[in-house]
Amino acid sequence: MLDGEKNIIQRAIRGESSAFGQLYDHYMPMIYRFVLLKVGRREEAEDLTHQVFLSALQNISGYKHLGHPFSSWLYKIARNSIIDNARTKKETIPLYDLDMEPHIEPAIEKTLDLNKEFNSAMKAIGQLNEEQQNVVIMKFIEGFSHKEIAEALDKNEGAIRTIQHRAIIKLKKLLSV
Amino acid sequence: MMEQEIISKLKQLQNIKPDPGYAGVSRSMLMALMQMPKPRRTWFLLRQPQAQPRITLAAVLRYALPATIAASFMFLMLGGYSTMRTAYFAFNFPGLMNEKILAAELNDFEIQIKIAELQYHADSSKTVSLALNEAGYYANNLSNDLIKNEGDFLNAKNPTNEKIDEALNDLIL
Repeated sequence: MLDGEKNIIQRAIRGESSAFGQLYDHYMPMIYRFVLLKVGRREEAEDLTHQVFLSALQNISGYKHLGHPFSSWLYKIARNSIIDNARTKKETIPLYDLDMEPHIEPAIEKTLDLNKEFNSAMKAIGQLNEEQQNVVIMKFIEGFSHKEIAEALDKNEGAIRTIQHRAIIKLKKLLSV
Repeated sequence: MMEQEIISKLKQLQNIKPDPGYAGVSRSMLMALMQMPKPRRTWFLLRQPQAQPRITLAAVLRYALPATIAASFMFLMLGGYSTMRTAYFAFNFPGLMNEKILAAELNDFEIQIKIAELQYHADSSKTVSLALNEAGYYANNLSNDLIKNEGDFLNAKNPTNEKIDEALNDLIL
């Protein structure tokens, strides 16, 4: 969560573009990663990420801060956008069949065996079901707590833990091969 | 593979970042949109291909169905009014609904007009003849000078006076 997020959100609701800009700068990378790991195509992920923040901009006046982080709301929008996008697409291409070239930080790229590590992780996530993908991405990649994930996915914490456990078991099998 | 190893592999995916060029353009577009006044912003958003509403069942139910229901209601109201009007006249004035009856009534109406005209003319003739009788009665009491003056005006040798005839005709007819 962003420091002083509640105040920033209120300013964004009032129409301050700088406030919305702060929210965008903080949350855009994680939304982009989430979308990219779900759809597998960079261009599609960019379009959908932009659409997510466009929707947020359109509907921010109706946003009510009820103690949940702003990210939960953004993740809901992202999930819905991905689902809508999948419905309108005529063909679906599995994640692990793609030649993807995501942007990797140059410093990290040197220490990372990109072809092996990255692709294996991406492929493994691509073979999880939607719920497991959501939990794995939000928990292990973005570092959200079970409570935050439950709020974003409209589930209780117990269900989130169960989904996480099953996802780990499946990933063990996939990454051990 | 241990769970921790899996988690560390997954954490490496945190290094995925959006392309800086894309991020800059996207941010600029959103900021520019936010700085637009709301009516213009709404118009601009509607022109965005991403903002075009998809034709989904939900959209049809939300927009098309109420419009269809309203149109049907109006049609029924107009049609119902027409039907009610027809029914009202059919109930109270059955003759209006039958062409033969209407034609017969029209014929009767024309005859009635002619009868009325004849009656009028007959009444007018009686009135004129009464007036002439009275005129003749009083004429006997008129002075010779006055009669003589009238005689110059009247052409006794010619019993018919076209002007009088015309006046009488106008009166009778």
